[in-house]
Parts: sequence; structure tokens; C-alpha cells
Amino acid sequence: MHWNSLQEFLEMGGYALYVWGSFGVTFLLIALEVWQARGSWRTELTHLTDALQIEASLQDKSPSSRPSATLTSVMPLTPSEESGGIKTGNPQPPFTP
Amino acid sequence: MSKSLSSRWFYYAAPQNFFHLCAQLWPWCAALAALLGLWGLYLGLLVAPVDAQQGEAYRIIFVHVPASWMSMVIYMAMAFWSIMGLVFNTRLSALMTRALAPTGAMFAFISLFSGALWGKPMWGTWWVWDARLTSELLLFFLYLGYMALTSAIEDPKKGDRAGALIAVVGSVNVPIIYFSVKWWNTLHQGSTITMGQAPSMAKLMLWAMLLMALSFWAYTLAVVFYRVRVMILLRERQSQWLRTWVSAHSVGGPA
Repeated sequence: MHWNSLQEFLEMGGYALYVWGSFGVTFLLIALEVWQARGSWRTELTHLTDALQIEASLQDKSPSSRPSATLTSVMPLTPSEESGGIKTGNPQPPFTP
Repeated sequence: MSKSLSSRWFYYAAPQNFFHLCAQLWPWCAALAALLGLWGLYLGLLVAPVDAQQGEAYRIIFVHVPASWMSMVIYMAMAFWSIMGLVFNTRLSALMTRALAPTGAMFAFISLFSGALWGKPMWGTWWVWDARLTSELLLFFLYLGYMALTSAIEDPKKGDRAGALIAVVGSVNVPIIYFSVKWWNTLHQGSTITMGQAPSMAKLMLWAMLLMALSFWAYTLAVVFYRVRVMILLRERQSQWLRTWVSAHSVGGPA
């Protein structure tokens, strides 16, 4: 052990600001990065889970004649068939085989 | 042997396989980083003797040099993945490059910041516009430029390509940083460790510095493996394997 007392260790021979400043900023930034990475993982996982749940609930509400969400349930048919003026905001032309 | 190695390489080039591999790897890398870091800090801050010329201020070296090395290594790794992405058009390459950038920027900042804190008591100034300091500052800006550019371009594929070009072109700067203390007459001291020569520092100090450098390596691997999984979550959201995985592993238990 190089030091004789805690006081001596903390004073760093008069260079405390410089030495502890360097080590402090290093650990602060590493802690921030870890915290940020954990946050982004949780956010993205939650977003994806929510999106899947919404999709699943949409499939449940579709008429029993359609067992799952099909192309026609997601995309508008022809404009005349679009009752109630539902705007899907889908710029693609209606699907015609 | 080489055949199995190359087939394994391509196996893990698929985001699905790499996603699961990273989940296994990152906790080990993080544990290794903590262990090596504690050992390095113990030797560097508690055991290593005082420096004859610089007094206790020299201990800044234990974060300054490893951080500077990592800032250069990470940029070279980004250039490597960018070339792989441009040549083989693999999906994973750009994700690796994107995952590496923030950590590289962080280490470049630590290098500059701890350098300023070291420069003030030793040189009497926080900053000089000499070759070593200026080229490291340029490296920091290259990281920021890469991140700004890739996040500003909405089409991920176009963002990947633009980012890859910055990473490859900017990598010319890395050897300039490394050799700047040889090529120009700078205020910055010469290399502490030169290939093929005995290091110009006491063995114990050298050990502490190498342990800190290995710890930063392990930390970088851990955080990059962790972050690349977030990137895969974002990019592969349409693929069935990810949907199946998410339903089984969602935050609030199985959905």
C-alpha cells in the first residue's frame, strides 16, 4: 500500500481535482451509458410488445369468416366499399388480383 | 477447421443468431470488465508508487491512456464493419457500426477531458493546438458526425451507407493520431509503450494500465453486444422469429 492515511489518498499530493476529476468523469459517463442502454432496451421491447398486442387484438375483432388478419382487413378495398369513410392513410392502390 | 470457422462466421452474421449469442456474451464481458477494472484501480490508485517527475498527478494515465486507445480501436472497428457492410452487404455490419459509435465517442471525450486535467498541472494549460490533441479532437467530431448523420437519415439502408463512408474515410485520421507524437514536435509526451521496445514505465504502473485497458475492452464488448440487440429489435421487427421471441420475453411476462 502506497498511502499512509485516507486523507493522504484523497489529497493525491495536491492534485486531487485533476486526478479525481478524471476518474470521476470516466465513471460518471460509463454509468450514464449503461443507464441509457438499459433504458433504450426496455423502451424498444415495450414498444414492440404493445404493437404485437394491438395486432393480436385487431385479429380477434375481425369477423369470424376471416380467421386471421388478411390483406383485405388491413388494406382498404375499393373506395366504394369503404363504408363510413374510414381513412387508413394508406397511399397504396387497392389490391386487385 | 477453416471451413467450420467460416461457416460459423456466416451463421452469426444472421441477426437472429447473433441476437441470441449477444444475450449469452454480454453478462460475461460486463463481469470481466468489473473484475479487471477493480484490479487495475487497486494497483493504480492504491499500490503503485509515486512518479518521480509528475508526482501523484501521473495517476490520470490509468484512465487517459486506456480511453485514448479505445477511442482509436473502436473507430478502426467501425471502419472494419463498414467495409464488411459495403463489400458483403450483410445486415449486421451496419448495426455493429452504429452500436460502437456512442462508446467510441465517450472514450474520445474521456481522453480529451482527462488530458486537459492532466495538461493543466503539468504543462500549465488545459489545451494546446498541437498535432496529438487536435487529431484526437477531430476523432471526437468524426464520432459525433457519424451519429448525427446516421440518425438524421430516415431510410436505415441509406443511413447505413452514408455512415459507412464516414467511418471508412475518417479512419485515415487514426494512424495520424497514433504517430503524431513521432511525426511532429508536440507538447504531448511520447508513446508510453512502443512495439518492440521496453516500456518506459515501472512494471507495476504498466500492469495497472494494461488491466485498465483490458477492462475498457471488456466493457466495450459488453455494451456493444447489449446495444446491438436493441438495434436488432428495431430493425427486425417484421420478422417472425423476433415476434415469437418478444411474445415469450416481453417486459410484463409472456404476452
